[in-house]
Amino acid sequence: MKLETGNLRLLFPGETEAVHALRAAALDRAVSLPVPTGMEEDWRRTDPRRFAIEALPPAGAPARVTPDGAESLDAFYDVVVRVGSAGWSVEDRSGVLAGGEVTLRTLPEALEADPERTAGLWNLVPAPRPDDRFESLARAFHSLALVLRVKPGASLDRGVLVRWREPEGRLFAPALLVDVGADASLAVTEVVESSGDGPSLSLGLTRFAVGDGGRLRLAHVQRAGTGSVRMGFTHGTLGAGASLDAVTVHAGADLVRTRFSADAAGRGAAARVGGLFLASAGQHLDQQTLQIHSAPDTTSDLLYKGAVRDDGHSVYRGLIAASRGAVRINAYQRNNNMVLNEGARADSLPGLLIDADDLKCTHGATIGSIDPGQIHYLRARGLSEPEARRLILDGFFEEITSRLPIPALRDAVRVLLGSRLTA
Amino acid sequence: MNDADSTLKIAGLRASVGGKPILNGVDLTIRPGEIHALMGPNGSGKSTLSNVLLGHPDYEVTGGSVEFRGRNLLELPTEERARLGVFLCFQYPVAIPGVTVAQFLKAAVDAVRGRGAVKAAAFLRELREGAKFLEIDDAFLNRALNDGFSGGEKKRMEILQMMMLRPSLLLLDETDSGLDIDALKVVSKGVNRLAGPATGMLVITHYERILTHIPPHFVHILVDGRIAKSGGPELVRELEARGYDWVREGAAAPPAAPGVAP
Repeated sequence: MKLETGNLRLLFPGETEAVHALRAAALDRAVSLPVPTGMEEDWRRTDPRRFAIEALPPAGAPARVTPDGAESLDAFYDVVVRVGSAGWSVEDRSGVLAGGEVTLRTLPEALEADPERTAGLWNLVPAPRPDDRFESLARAFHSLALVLRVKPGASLDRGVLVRWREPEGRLFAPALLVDVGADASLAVTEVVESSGDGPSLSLGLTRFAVGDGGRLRLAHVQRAGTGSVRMGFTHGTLGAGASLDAVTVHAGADLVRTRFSADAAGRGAAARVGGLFLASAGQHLDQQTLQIHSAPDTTSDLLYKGAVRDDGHSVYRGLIAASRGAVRINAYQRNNNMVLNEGARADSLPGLLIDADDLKCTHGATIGSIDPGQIHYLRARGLSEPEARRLILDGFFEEITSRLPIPALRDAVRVLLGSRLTA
Repeated sequence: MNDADSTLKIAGLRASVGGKPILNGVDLTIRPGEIHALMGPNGSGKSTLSNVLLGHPDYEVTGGSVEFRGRNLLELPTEERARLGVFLCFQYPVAIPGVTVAQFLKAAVDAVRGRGAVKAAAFLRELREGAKFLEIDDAFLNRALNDGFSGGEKKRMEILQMMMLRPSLLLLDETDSGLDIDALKVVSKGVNRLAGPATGMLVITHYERILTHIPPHFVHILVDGRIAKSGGPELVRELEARGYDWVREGAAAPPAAPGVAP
């Protein structure tokens, strides 16, 4: 597959002009940007050549099918969306879609219903804007793009679960746009899995806009198979008095590179961002976060905690950006890493990009191993060394796990981490 | 000797920290039902003894043996010692962030009393009862273990752990230090509830105060890594009156035979 606009029609036949135009614009932008070589500051720790976009054929949009294959976690959500190679389905478990408070559309449907707003959200990019060649490719080759919209003032009791199951042997580019109306409230959970451990390449795009006084709880749990190479791009804006509570969990895949950013763009907006990750044998996990403050009286509170074991390698790069005029802001960033054995590696690179002078900005990072005193204390209470280490790590992760929106999801993540720790 | 013999026999125990000898041949026997107090000046090796008995990795054993229930404790990993019924109330309990008291104690009870031996409901009942007995608010059971606890709260938590794990040999390492009188009474109440014919105890302390609440049968004074003097409870009063120097002088040079001129 060549990165040429002419190929888009062949790869994605029968699409509307509006969708095709978005693809073509994104591809034009992508090819206009330099291909990273690994010499760029941003790419020194992760080899860009491993994201071989042209090696796998892009997956087209799967067909819509009847809901099937419920898992126990699904019972805790109002709406469950399942996307797999056999198709995608929507289960409106508590009738919120039928009631019209929430709408779920595909990108072509949303472009037709609300062209400007949809295109605006689709093309929303963070400023300062890092290299977005791959992000543009995610737009150009998106497989299925869903647009979730909550009416102003509406609120869901439980929320929406989207299960992405990426196909093997394909370039898979799922996209999710979340549009939360003013004073509305929504919880969205994305669970990313793969259908097996065969090779796959995934480019995920998530965009959100939270209206004034709105509230969004966003959870992203990635548990892909060992053949998975993936990139994720999440960005959104918060209106005046709006709040975001986001948690990202990375426990799977072979190679991951993600960027998460939130722009507190309205006065008094608040972002709380949590990350939890575990890199085991053969895994390389590169995460970047960007806390943007472009309005006064805004706050951001970020905590990323991770563990590396075997020859796992994690890279965390955090940036706080405050623009001129963003006065009285409070930004906090912390990254704690646990290195579980020799040979594992964690890199932490915090940074500030400040163009304001009335602010409080705190950041810190730690890289350490499990305290032998803690292990001894637990062994003195009868726990074996592996049991002690496990319990200490569970506790280390708990600070983030407890931020997940639904108790059943917290339990699912605890079980997931436990299985990855003992594997 | 049979396996069930819960007598602790420490013989000729030597240990060092970072190459520096701290214990220089400790001999001590504690039978079930006996309460022994171990006193001594700072730096005499009291805490080293308790740490060595639990196999703390910072301490190196250089000689001697410790028999308990038919095993040489020194050859066992720490968790095996705990499962045999040895419990140390730590002088400095360790915080485990993110792990609740209840979660931790369920894991410990499963490990020491046997997995599945105590069902979840019975465990919670016992835990709440223990907390109530020690005047610990139930809310503490859902807080992270020792994380942000005051000194007194940590010590109560040690005693709660002890009650849940039901040891046959209890080692208290300066459990009284930093406790106010009310906390000391509560802690002592917990210890005295465990005390009985099946349990041996070693109360390590710098002060006689705790011994008025937990009266010992035997008192030993540790000086320079050796037990310099042993006796009954009267030794405590004598120490109080004469201080450690009196023992130290005695330990440094054996008293000359009476009536013989140098």
